[in-house]
Amino acid sequence: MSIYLVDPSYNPNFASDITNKTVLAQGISVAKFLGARGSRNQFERVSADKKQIARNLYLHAELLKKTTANSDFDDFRIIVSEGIYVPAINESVTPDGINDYRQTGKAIVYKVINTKGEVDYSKTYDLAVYWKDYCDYDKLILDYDTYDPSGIPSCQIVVVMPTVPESFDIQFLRRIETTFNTNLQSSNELVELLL
Amino acid sequence: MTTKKDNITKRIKVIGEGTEETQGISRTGFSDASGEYPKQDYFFGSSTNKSAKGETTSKLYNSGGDIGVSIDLPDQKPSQYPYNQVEQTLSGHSWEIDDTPGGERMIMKHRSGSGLELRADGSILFSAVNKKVEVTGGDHTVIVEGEGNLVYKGNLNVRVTGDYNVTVDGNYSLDVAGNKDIAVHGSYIKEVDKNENKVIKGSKSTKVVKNSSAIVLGNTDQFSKGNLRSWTQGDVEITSGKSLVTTAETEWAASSKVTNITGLIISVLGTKGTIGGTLVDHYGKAYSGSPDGAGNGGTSFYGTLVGRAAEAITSDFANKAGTSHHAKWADEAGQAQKANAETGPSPFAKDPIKYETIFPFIETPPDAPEPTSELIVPHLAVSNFGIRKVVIDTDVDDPNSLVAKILKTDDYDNLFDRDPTIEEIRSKLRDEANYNNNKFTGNLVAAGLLSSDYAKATDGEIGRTSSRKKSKKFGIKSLGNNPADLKSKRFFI
Repeated sequence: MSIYLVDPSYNPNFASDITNKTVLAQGISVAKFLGARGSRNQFERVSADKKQIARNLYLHAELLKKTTANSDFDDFRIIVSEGIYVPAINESVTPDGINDYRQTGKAIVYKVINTKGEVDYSKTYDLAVYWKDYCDYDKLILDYDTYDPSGIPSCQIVVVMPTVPESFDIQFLRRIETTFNTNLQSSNELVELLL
Repeated sequence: MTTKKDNITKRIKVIGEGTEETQGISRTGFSDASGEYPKQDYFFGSSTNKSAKGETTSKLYNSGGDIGVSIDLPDQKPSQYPYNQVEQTLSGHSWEIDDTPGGERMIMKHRSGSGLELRADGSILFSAVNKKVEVTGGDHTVIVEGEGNLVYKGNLNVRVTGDYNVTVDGNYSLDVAGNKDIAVHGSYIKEVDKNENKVIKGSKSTKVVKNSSAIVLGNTDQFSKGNLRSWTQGDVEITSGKSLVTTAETEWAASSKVTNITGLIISVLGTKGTIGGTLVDHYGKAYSGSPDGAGNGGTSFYGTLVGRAAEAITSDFANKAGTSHHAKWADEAGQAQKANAETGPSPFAKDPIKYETIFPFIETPPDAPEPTSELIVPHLAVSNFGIRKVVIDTDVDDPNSLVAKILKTDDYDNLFDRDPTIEEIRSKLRDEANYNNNKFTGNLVAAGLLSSDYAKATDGEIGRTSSRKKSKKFGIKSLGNNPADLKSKRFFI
């Protein structure tokens, strides 16, 4: 375990109230993780401890900030495609699954969009490798799927962060895997699928 | 010379000639007196700016589009020497005026990547790495001949201190994932030229402090699967220009301290029950008791009857009685069991006299048939005035019920209450329980919202791979003190 150094300006522990306007890093607020296309939710509907969510999201904000500083991704936008998860009324979320982690902001799903507004598969792989090499995380999944009935494959990166305690005393497990349609393709390895 | 090293003589005196020789101004005079130029990238090469020669192209911060939002600009043609006039400062700010044929542009760039670029095709790129603040002291007019996209990843607040007028010549679509609150402190006027359809999947509540009015020039239908209650503290008027039919399958009750039912033709029918009260007057031309099967009326009459009776068991006064078991006074009696002594003994006839019961009495039978149960039961079941069978919708558990179709509960196994987008489906499928829910995925596939290949275990060829070890990078940064132009292109971790 090690103490993660937190910018006091954005430390959620110091915030009196956590709202969707709470800023986690320069230009990154909680709202960034709420209005994703795959999970359009309001912070009021989130039942989990909001301070805990904000602490978990702080690590994601750091991830994004570090990526923005990398000129390799200058012409690409990293978007949150699946943010905080709020299950349906009668839905039972599988414990310790991705959606369970998303409820508390531990897991967030990202996509890399090029200037044409399309998912850039090659750059998504590059980003996954960059995060794997230079960033902290518990688990990083390079996820491909062919869910879209239009036939356009999709590619995204699922990043799972550890649960951040108030002390920010955390350890990153740094596990990686590649999945296709939720089926495991490779563990301990990122594999670029040419779909 | 205007540099800070002009005072060389003085410096030699202070620090010594040897030190000055190693730090001082180059004797050749071709080097920068300040020692800050050339930059590392220009070592052992021409000092002409690389952008001017087209070796590099200055670019502004341009961080991709968004899903479905393209900010794609045409590629910029590399500059040709000597058309590009470049001015670059120490920290990296630059100003370029490029006359390269086919690539004419102007760019003003901050070292951070922010700046303004006027491209060869006439496009303008305004880029801010951090905040962008726009302040206009006077009026502000924006005219766009093409399309526009606005994407805010955070909150957007718009405040208009004057009027806010929006004119849409096409359709106006609003998709709100959360709540929508509208507060109108004045009047709210809505005019719809064609139809208005509203689907509310929860409850609806309306509060009106003063009056409410609805004018419908066509028909009005109101269906309620649950109860329909209408409470009015004042008067209620229900008026129909034609018929008014009210039926109830179980019970229909109308009560008031004063109740009036008036009609030119009126029918109150029932197989049993009570009509009347202590002080109720009955008017009519005929009264018929229910027959006992032998053709005799089985009706009992209690109290005082002033009029004529074909038979009286007990009568205070009988003008004439065929048979009177007890009469205080009888002008004439065919047979009497008792007679008061004051009036003298009544003639007792062993053989009673049968009097005509129709003196001035003329029998006027009822116009309508007798309302027996044989008549009333089918009347309630099948006639125009019969009880209407009401079924608004089947149970919610029925997949064909209207509520199930509206809520799509059965379609998506309670995971969605509307048709989801592919992004929302992808989000749900991250849970293995949902992924393995065949009803859920099957209906999504059937609805054309999910590809039938969703469960395909593998596809495509394998491209690059990267293990958990840190990747090797190629030629990003030179190692040691090698000059930039002689970068070793070594691998390093």
